Amino acid sequence: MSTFLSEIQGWLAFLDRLPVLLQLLPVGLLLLGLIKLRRLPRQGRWGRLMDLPLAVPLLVGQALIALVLLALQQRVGLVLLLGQFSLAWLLLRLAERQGLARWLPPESMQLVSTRLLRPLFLLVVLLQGMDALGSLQDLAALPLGVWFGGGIRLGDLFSVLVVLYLLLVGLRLPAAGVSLLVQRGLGISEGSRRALDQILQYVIFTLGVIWAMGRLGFNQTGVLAIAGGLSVGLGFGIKEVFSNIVSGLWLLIEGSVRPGEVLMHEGEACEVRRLGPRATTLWRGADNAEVVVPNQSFFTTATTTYTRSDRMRRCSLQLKMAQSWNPGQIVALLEGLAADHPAVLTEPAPKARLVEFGSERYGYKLSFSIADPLTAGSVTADLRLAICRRFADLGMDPPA
Amino acid sequence: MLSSGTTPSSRRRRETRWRLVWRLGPGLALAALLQGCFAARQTLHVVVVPTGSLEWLQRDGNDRIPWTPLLQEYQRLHPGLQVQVSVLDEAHLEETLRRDRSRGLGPDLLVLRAPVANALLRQGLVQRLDGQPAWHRSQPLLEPAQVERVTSAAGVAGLPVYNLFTLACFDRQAVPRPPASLDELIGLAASGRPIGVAVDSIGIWWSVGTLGAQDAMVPILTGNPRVASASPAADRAALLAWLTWLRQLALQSRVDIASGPRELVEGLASGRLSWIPCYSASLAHLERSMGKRLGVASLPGGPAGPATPFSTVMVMALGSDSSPPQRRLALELTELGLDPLVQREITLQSLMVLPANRYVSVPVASSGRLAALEQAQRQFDQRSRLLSASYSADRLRRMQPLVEDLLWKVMLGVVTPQQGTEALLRLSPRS
Repeated sequence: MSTFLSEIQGWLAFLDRLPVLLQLLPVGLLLLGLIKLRRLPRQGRWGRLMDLPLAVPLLVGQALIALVLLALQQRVGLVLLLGQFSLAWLLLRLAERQGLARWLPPESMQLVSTRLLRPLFLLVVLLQGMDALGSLQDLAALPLGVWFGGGIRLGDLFSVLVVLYLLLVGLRLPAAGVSLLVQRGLGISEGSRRALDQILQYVIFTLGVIWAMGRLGFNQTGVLAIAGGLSVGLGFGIKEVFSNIVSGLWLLIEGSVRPGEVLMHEGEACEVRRLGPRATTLWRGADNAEVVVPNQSFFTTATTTYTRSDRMRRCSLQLKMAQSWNPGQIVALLEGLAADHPAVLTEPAPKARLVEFGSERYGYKLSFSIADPLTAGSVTADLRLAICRRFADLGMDPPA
Repeated sequence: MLSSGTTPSSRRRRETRWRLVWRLGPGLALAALLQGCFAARQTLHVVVVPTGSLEWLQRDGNDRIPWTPLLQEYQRLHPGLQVQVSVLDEAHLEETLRRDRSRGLGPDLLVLRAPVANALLRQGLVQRLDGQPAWHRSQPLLEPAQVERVTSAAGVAGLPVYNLFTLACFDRQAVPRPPASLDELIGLAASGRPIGVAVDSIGIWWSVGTLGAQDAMVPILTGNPRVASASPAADRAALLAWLTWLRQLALQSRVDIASGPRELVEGLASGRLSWIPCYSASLAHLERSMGKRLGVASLPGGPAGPATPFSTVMVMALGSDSSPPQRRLALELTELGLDPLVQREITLQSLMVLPANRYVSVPVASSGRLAALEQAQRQFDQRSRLLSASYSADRLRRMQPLVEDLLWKVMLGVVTPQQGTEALLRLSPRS
């Protein structure tokens, strides 16, 4: 590592050269000036110019600097290299705004942009910059020591980290694509598709880790021995985390809690959004909240699900009417109102029953089925409103 | 819904941060520049260019072995100085230097073969050395032939530091006594010991002089004028004799025609081959693989005289982007390269090169390997007019594949030695 740091320190020696200073100073001042200008209040034509992305005036300025240096018969290679970076950044922003934003939903766009494209851009800039200042091959060959029986070189470690990062953040889209194809090909359910999506990500990432260990030349026996020793310590130290991870994997394989499923959590119907390695993210429609529940809790407590074998949910509402009204007429009225609602399934048909005799009022219960369990609250509210309106139209007392 | 970063307090915090950046930024940039200027006096960028076709030896740090004593001595003299050594392939050298030069980021010093340095000087990618006081002080230490090899119309491209030669490497267990003549070499193969040759400069060209064909090959490969005393008929006869012998060699079942020096070296190291022509730069690699089994000797002679080994003179050339202090340091390092003590250390520590300083004696009595190297140098000085004069690396690079292809065809029987001779003569600049 000290060799690597001294290598980087050695690059500063280039600043002693006049041609290098003549290229870097104007570009540095231009960048600082543009940042300063963008912080000033925007007025008139210049204000509109400042609305452009920073890379545009920077690129124009770099082109002008290159022209002036060429006229003075000075070197321009560094200015052109920095210009390439500005241009690449501009193209990336354009691709994000004009291309990706049209094809991807905002959330996915944000993820792809901040976790994949921009880090990749920074990585390319970093590598190109290092290649310009020194030899990437020599840097890659710098030894970092011996880990798990394998001699590690900087290049190997760097490439392994990059590949693992790309697998970690870049697997979502390909895995989603493959699971979608499988769904279309084999006709599996939406929940199974999402489970397959998750399992694919885990499997490929695990393969990536195995490849990384092979690439770094880790001695398998040494890794196993250390893993054995660590497992005891981990068992005591962070057993909850491991318990959650194992629970998550088991839930995925078992299929009892899968992304897309609807289940009851603390008395509310929630949809499973994501089954992560440690926790499951639920979406609660009532208040548009996301609830993060440790996987272990699904593993150790009973869970009510509406989507295990099918997605149908049987709902009910209760009301009381004065004894003076004919029960048969009330039952027919309630069943008719339920049947008229577009979200209520015809099979099994809505059913109203007289469930209670009171001293002044009789109790009724209307049961009906819906296809989407998450809409139970809104459909029930719709039916209550329809009952009130119909009873009012017929001159009946409002239900209690 | 709250939007992040829009509250007055967060805006104030952000503005405070920016003000801090604006106040500290220029100061930090100036400090970096000053630090850079300070560091510039402490760092020298050196690029080592391994001999083409031997880049695979890089993984052993082979090319740095001869330079270690020089760098150690230099850092002893300049303890605060950092020498950053990087390795560049010959194939990408020009392209990389052009790119670095356009940015002002070229190396301060290059360590490379003399013909490559000559070619770079013609293209303005290295600085000429003549005119520098260091050159005038160093020139008397060099043989005139060495000076000639780094001198062209464009000037002196670099300062020679050491020489590499083609030798014979063999497995002591399989070959107790190395062959001294071409007949003995064929006899060795006939007795069941597998030998290896290749059609490249290291693998077969040593045999050119053993059959008197060197005067005919010089103009073909280098473009330099032919020897005045030679006649076209003599050239034809010598080339025919050489190609006929090559064909006879290839007819031996125990002769392996390899694709290049790597295959030869790996064949010997693995025990598949018993005798090969080897470049002295690969001796360290072979010794690591074979240990005491490795035998080294000079190449066998033939009816027309001793072998004509291939030789490379490694030189130090000045980069073209250095600042005046960096140039001064680079010249100091260059001059130190010919220091007798450093030259002796380079020779003794590596045991695969010979010093360029003609006043440094080589202890041949105590080392058979150094004795073989010195014998190769004598053969080269006496007989290898092939590469003793300054020549165009571009022409050599252009002609090499053509000649090698032709030699392949002759050895494999695709064309007869007579047809091969006529084809070679057609490549000569005279025709």
